[in-house]
Parts: sequence; structure tokens; C-alpha cells
Amino acid sequence: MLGLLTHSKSATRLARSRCLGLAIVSCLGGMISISLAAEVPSVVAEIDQHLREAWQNAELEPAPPASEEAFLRRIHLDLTGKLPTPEAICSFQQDPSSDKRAEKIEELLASEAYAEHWAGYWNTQLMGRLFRSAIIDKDAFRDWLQESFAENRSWEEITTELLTAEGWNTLRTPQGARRDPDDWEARYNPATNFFLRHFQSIPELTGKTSELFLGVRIQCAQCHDHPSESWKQADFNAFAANFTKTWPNSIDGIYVTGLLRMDTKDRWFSPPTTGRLEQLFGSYAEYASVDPRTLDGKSVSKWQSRRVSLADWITSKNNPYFAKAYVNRMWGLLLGRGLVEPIDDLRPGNPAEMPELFERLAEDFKDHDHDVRHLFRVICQSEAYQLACAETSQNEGNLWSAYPLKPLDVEVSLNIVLQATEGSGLLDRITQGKSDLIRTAVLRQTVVALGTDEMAEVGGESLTIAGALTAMNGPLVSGLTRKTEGLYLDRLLEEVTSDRERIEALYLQTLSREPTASEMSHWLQFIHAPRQVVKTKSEEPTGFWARIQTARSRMSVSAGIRNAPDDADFKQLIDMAETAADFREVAGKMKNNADAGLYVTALEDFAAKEPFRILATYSSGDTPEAQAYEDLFWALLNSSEFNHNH
Amino acid sequence: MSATQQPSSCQGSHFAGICSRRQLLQGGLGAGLSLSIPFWQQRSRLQAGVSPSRPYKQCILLWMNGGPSHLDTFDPKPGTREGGPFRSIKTRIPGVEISEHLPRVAEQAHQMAILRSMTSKEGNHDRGQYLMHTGYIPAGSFRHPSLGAWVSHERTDVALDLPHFVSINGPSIGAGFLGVEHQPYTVLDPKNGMNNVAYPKDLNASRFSRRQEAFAFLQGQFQQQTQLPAVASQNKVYQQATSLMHSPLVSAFDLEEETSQMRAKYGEHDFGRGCLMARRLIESGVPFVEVMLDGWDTHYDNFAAIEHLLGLLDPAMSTLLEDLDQRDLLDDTLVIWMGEFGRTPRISANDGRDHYPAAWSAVLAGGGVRAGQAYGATDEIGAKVVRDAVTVPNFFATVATLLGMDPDKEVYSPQGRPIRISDSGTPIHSLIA
Repeated sequence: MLGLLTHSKSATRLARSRCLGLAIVSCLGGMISISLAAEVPSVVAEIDQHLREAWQNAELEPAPPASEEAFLRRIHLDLTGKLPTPEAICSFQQDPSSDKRAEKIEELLASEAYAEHWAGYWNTQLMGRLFRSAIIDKDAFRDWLQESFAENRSWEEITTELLTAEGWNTLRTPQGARRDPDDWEARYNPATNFFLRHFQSIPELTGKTSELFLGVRIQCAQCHDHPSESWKQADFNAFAANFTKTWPNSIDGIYVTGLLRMDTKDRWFSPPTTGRLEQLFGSYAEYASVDPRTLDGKSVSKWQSRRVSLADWITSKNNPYFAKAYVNRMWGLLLGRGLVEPIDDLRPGNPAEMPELFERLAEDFKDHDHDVRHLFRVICQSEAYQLACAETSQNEGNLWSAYPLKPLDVEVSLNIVLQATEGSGLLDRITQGKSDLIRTAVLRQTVVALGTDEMAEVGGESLTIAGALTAMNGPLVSGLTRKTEGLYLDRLLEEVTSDRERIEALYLQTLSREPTASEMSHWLQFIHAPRQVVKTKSEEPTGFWARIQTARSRMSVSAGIRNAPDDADFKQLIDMAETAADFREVAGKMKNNADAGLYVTALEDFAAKEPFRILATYSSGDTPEAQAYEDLFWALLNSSEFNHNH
Repeated sequence: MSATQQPSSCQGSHFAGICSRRQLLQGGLGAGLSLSIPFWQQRSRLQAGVSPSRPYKQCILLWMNGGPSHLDTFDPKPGTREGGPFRSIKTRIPGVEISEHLPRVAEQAHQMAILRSMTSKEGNHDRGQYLMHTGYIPAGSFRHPSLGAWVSHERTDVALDLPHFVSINGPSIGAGFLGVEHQPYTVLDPKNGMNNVAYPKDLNASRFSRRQEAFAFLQGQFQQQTQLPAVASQNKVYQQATSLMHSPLVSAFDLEEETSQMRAKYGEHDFGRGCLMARRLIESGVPFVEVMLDGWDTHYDNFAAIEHLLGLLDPAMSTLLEDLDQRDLLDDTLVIWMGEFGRTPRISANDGRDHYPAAWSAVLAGGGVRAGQAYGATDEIGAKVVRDAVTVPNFFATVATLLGMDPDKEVYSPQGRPIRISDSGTPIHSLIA
């Protein structure tokens, strides 16, 4: 059996024994926690002072401090997008150190999961979730982001790279390419993929830049002047003009399969926008002749690349927006609400809720050279972050006097469902190791089913009826909470015999805390209540002959695709494919980029449906007890407590 | 929510076997439901096919994703180089011709106002789609509500288990700041109807009730601990989802209830099925349904691609109008046909047409439209609007008025920003009957 516990029969007992007897080994991705020096930045005391004064002035009684368990779950979800393991919870509880919260923050900031999680967040903001494009190497871009966070590159450095990157976007050779560029590897720069994502709409690129790095929305000025806004249409056009002398070129024709290799370059002239190039560069035309300026109305230097000048201005410590935009966004993400709301609307007419605190945080961020991890340390050690998530009618959570109930991003939701159910291994097996594909597919399905826009945040707050139906009856949660070999519940019920210990383990596994006495007695009663085993008939053909029949017809489909004539319509072949084997045959029939596009789309759709179909066929446990535990596990995974950070 | 009220034919029998949604529904109908919403009042119309006069207007948006060529659909320019190889045919509007590949739509033209003078500035798909769903230019992370969400928001008089905004074959654009309850319910495959409304394998009504009890207990504990109203609102969504699972109205999503002739008439493809589902949803009282037909981004082989698309559009759209009319639903149902922009009059070297927002076409039908006219006009090659330009704000103001909504009504976003249904547009009165 997979993941058999060797130390102890009980998951909880295992955690205990580790806490008590063994050296503390962190279970985060197998990383050994070396004792990292905990650091409390001096600014934290000032921040706390501001908060306390504000609460006092508003006569607010802040929520009590968060319990250790609550803090641990919170910090794990915020910094790594994952739940603490039961072992981590236990060792944290047993840790006698007085600054263990600060130590935990250090440990998590140094983890691989941190870099992965925050690369994921910025990837969504910069690129969006679901786009498909033959000119963008999504993986290379994401890897670059992850590396940036793993190495703790400053926000200034990351921003500058995103805004000024030149060079080749990918190291993958497309099928059918005639030659490689001479300077391919020397000028490889995955950060160019951000530019490639948006250059086909200069207004979009301009808007993204101002919104993400400056926290201002000059897009509104794109079409009309608004009396109350600081920027006029002319300002928008002059800002947009900074991008018009940068454009990409490719060495690959359109008749290759896979990613086109794109070379982004700053040049002395704007691209031609006539004829066939109108499609690509049409949006440059309107801004190409405008004199480029920064948002403070100053002309940019004519003696270097416009983008370099722009990035210099944006990331300068004199820029009134750059540090604040990042600080405000992080405060908002970690504490539920920005000091300025919306988090990307820092225009002068929209004041901060606690202006002095905001100024101080931004100054400190600059003083630390835009150190990304430093800001996490500051906010996560502030008193606001340490409070319980418990609003009272007296404080209503105002002025961050209680920790908020935060919805989770879809990525994090998926993470923790897979983590709690130990479903990753099973999905890997179903997809023969291609669980990345599944991930994209599941995200696509979730985002689309929730009816949300690609670039918008998606989270539990936006729980829709469709989302609730999916959580209740969809194959992911109902399938993975089954007592099925390879899944957590099966392991738990096989290895732990005491109901108390089982319930305790389930709570640690999902809610990252132990059940209260009244919860324990409620669930003991629930488990022992008489019930009948429910088995419904499968709608899939299950008999021996039916299976043979299916296998036979499947083989003929695969063979049919393989033997299809060379001039067969590719779309028809794709429509025939229903199994992984069929898709392997189809892959061999691709002739050009258009075929590849169809193939990728169809394969992703297949990847989205197939594991779900398989999960939906899993049977429930055979005993009343097993089914009772399945129901409890299902309820835990559907609960608001599981589906939020709090 | 009282878990003991879960209706089902499968209840109490552990030999229930397959507990499909259909059984669930049929069982539900016979089992004397005690749901809070008097669905049977709405149900009767679907069953009997009669339409009592409805208190509210409804809307179907036929969304042509990718930007449909105006020259090859509703604004043909035969005989010009730009007009391409398609001929044009007469419609039931005297003197107005459309593409030869829309013969059945031409027969329904008397129900339509063909707008040939749409004009905007957004030639990028994402931005154009946002603009033509919301009436606003994209503005960073601020999210304007799409038309369907506005309708859902304004239709406070609708008591219905079903979602108020359904989007078929694509996700539409969300509800923005209007909030979750106005998000579209998305049906990606109309053949499958509504997803996840049936019990999963090895679950029946009594086991589902136990799950509900377990869930309610956890929610209660968490609510007690945090005192947060958000927990209660999550409970409400779960409650709605559970009602929906057991509502007979779910059958509005089930095309198997239609005759095979009817299905064939609409067309046995996603768009045809989507239109048929839209008609069923309108009958059931859903205020806004969007049906997407994708593939209009015809940079290559424009004419072959469009001929194929019109082959899907023609039966579906014409049958929809005819069917709504025969059921006395058309007068109160506004049908909109449009995409995010038009296509270039110039035919490219790839035999394609590229994005073109300066001049393009849209169609309004039913729902109080002054039908039987072509409104506005382009020049001889479809490049410029030469008469009665329809701007996006004016278009949205017109649509809002037709749907009985005040286009100037302001709703405050959570940040206190006033947003109007139409971005300072004026309704075009000659389009309103």
C-alpha cells in the first residue's frame, strides 16, 4: 500500500512521537529545518503602535490573539498555499521557543513551496490563468518567476526585468523549424514572455504596467477625460508611447508545430502597421507618434531605450507609487483589505485608511531596497496578523482589529483538497504522471464553471451555486473522500482503529486543529449511529463481455486513426479520439501549427474530463462505518472553515 | 435548511439502484415537496406550453465569439471586391438583403431590426468582448457587470430556483461588483445539461441528508467561533444549490424532453442545442440566457469558415425566433445577435478578414423592438458608417430600455463608485416599438 506509515500505527500517534521523541524534522516537502535566525524588523513595533492608537481612537476592542494552531494554518496558507501537515502542527505546538512564530515565518520564506506559491500568484496577475498562445512559453516564464522568488530578488529587480527584457522567449525548438537563431542561447530571456503576452494591445500593456507596478488605473483615461481623475487621455497616450519602439520578431514561419521562438527587441523605430502586420502591430499606430512621457508628465530620455527610461522612473525610490503599490497589495492580500481599496487605485482622490502607517510601511520597504521577504516578515509579525479571526459586533473587523475570513484562490483550494485527501498520487496514476496537464485542466474547468474572468481573482468568496454543486457532488471532492486504496481515508481507517484518534487525525488533516470536546462527542455519535450501506448501480458497462466489447471497439478507433490517409481532416481525427491511446495516434498526424492548436485544446479537454470520469466511478466503502467516515470527511472538505484562510 | 425535507423517490430504499436526476425529478414531483418556492406556478408553463403574461422582460444574447464579418452576414456588399463571393438574398423586410447563407433567417427578418451602423474602437478580442458584454472599456481590476448580471440584478421580482443568468457554450463575462449571486451559471456542454445536480455514485437521499447534517454542524461550529456573516451567506448558496438539485425546474436544462424533430430543427450541434435550451430556460422564467457560437475570428479562409458557421446559425436562430413567436414568448423576449466587432472589408492574402471595430452589424429581435427595419448604413464597401451611427453606450441604453431597465440608474460599487447600466448612453427611440 502506498505511503504506509512505518513508525506508528496512528497518524496522530506518529505526529506525537515525533514531537516528543525525535528531533524536530519539518515535513514541508522533506525539507530539513535548519534553525533559521528569527528576525523581528524594528518597524513592526511602530506598525503595532499605529494600529493600537487607531483602535483606541475608534474605541475598538481588537479580537484576542490567534491560537498557535490558527496562526500556523494561516501562515502556511499565506506563504506557501498549502496546509501545515499534522506533523508540522504537532511539532509547532511542542516547540518551547518563545519566538517560534518568527522562526516559522523564516522557515516558510526559505521553502520551495513559498517560491512556487508566489510565483503562481504573480503569474496569474501578469499573464492570466487560461490563455493559450503559440508565441508564449508559459512554463519558462513561470520558472523564471519561481527562481526570482526563491533567490529573493528585489521587487525593483523583478519589475525592471519584466519591463525591459529583450531576447528570445523560449529554448524549445518547434517541430519543423528550419534553423536556430545564432544568438539563441546567449540572448534567451524568459521574462520577455510578459511583453509577448500583451504587446498586441498597447493599451492593455500600458494598463497592466500601471496597475500592477504603480497601483494606478490610467486605463480609465484611455477613452475620455474625467474631471475628477488625475490623468487625461493625453497622459495615457504619452505613457503608452513608451512601449511603441519595442517589438518582437520570429525566426520561425507559421508552418511549424509548437512554440514560435520570439525575439523581443528595443529598436529605434516603431513596427510597420500595414498589410499583414496590421493584425500584430495595429495597436501601435495610435501611440507611435506621441511624445513618450512618464505619469508625472516628464519626457523620457531620448538617448536610451524608452522602456529602460520608463523602468528607471517606475522603480526609482522617488517614484511616489512604486513602493506603495506593492506594499498596499501585500497588506491587502495578507490582511484581507488594502490600506487603499481597491488595491490598484492609488490615485490622489482615494486616500488610505491609515495614511501614516501606509507611509511608514512604504518607507521601510524602500529602506530595505524593495526586499520582498522583508515585507512579509513585517506584515506577518504585526499585531493585525496575529489576531484571531473573530469579529464582534463591537469591532466588526474595522481597522484590521480582527483577522479577516479570506477566500482561497482556486489554485490553493485545489492544493489543499489534494493535500488533505492525498489525492495527488492517485491523479498521477490516473494520468500516467501528467498531473500538470490535469492541474491546468482542473483550473480551467473551475474558472469556467464559476463564470469568472480569466484575469480576475477567483476565490471562495465568489462561491456560486455551480461551485457549491461541484463541491457537493462533483467527482473531485466526492471521489477523493472515498475509502479507496491510495487515498488518505483508506490509510486512516486501515491503520488507526480508535474512533477518537481517527476523528482527531481527520481534524488535523483538514482544519489543522484538534476537535473540541463537544465536536468529538458529536462525531462519535455520528459515526456510531445506525445506517445502511448505500450502493448504487454503476452506469458504466461493468460485465466482462461489455469490457471486452469496449476494448475491441477502442482498438479499432486507435487503428482507424493510425491508418487514416495523410489528407484526412485533422479535426475529424481529433473528434474520434476518446482515449489516451487515441490521442497518441492523433499526435502523429499533426501537420502544422493549426493542427497543434486543435490538438492541445482537445487533449486538455480530454485531460480535464477523463480523471473526473474515473473518479466518479469509485465506489464507497463497504461498511456503514466506512461510509460514515466518508460523509464526515466530505463535510469537512465542504466546510467554510476548510475553504477559507482565517 | 431542514435535511429531513430532501425529496426523492430513492429515499428509504437501499436497493434504489440508479438514482438518476430524472428519477430524482420524477420522484420529486410525485412526492409532495415542501420547498419554499412555489415552483409549480412556473412549472405549469413549461408543461402546458402556455404563457401567461409575464411581469418581466427576458433576453437571449446570441454571442458570436471572435467578431463576425458584417459583410458576409447582415450587411452584404455583393458585386464589390470587398464583398467577397457570397451573393445576397431578399428578406421579409422590403428592400433589405442579407447573405445568401441565411435563407431561413431571412424568412424571420420581419421580427428583426438589423443594425448596420455599430461602431466602437476596441479591435482586441478580450477588450472587445468585455466592452460588448458590459458596455464599458476594461479598467484594470475593476469589474463592470455584464448585461446578464444587470438583468439578474434588476429582476428582483423573479422568484425562481434556477439561476437568473445562464451562459451556454461559454463562460460569458461575470457579474463584476454586483456580486456572486448574479454570476452566470455556465453550461459548457448542452448535451449534458446541468452538471452535478445528481447524487454521486453510492449516494441516495438519506445519505445525502446525513451529509447535509454533518455539513450544517460544522458550519454552526465555525459560525459560533467567528461570528461572521460570510458563513451564513455560504450556507445560503449551499441551500440554493440543494434546492436546485431537487427542483423539477432543472429539467429545463434537459433537451431529452424535446422531440427529436424539434432538436433536429434547431440543429444537432452545440449552438442549435444551446438555442433550444435557451428557449426552454426562457419558458421556465430565466431572465437572461446567453448562447455562444465560437469561431468567427476568420483571419484565414474567411469564406469557407463563415459558410460553415452560417450553416449552424441559420437553422438555430430562425427556429428560435419562430418557436418563441409560436409560444407567445417573443413579445417579451429580446433576442440580440452580435459579437465583439466586425471584420475588415479588405480581404487579406490569407483569404481572410481581420478585426474591424469601426463599422459592423448587430441584430435585435422580439421584445418590443421596432422590427422590420434595417437601421443605419455603411458605405459601399462596409468600411465606414454613413448613417445613424450606433455607439456602444447608445446601444446599451437602447437594450436596457427594451428590457424595462432605466439606463441611467446608478448602482454603487462596494468602493462607492456610481456605475450606470449604460455608460452615459441615450436610447435610440426609432429602434423601440
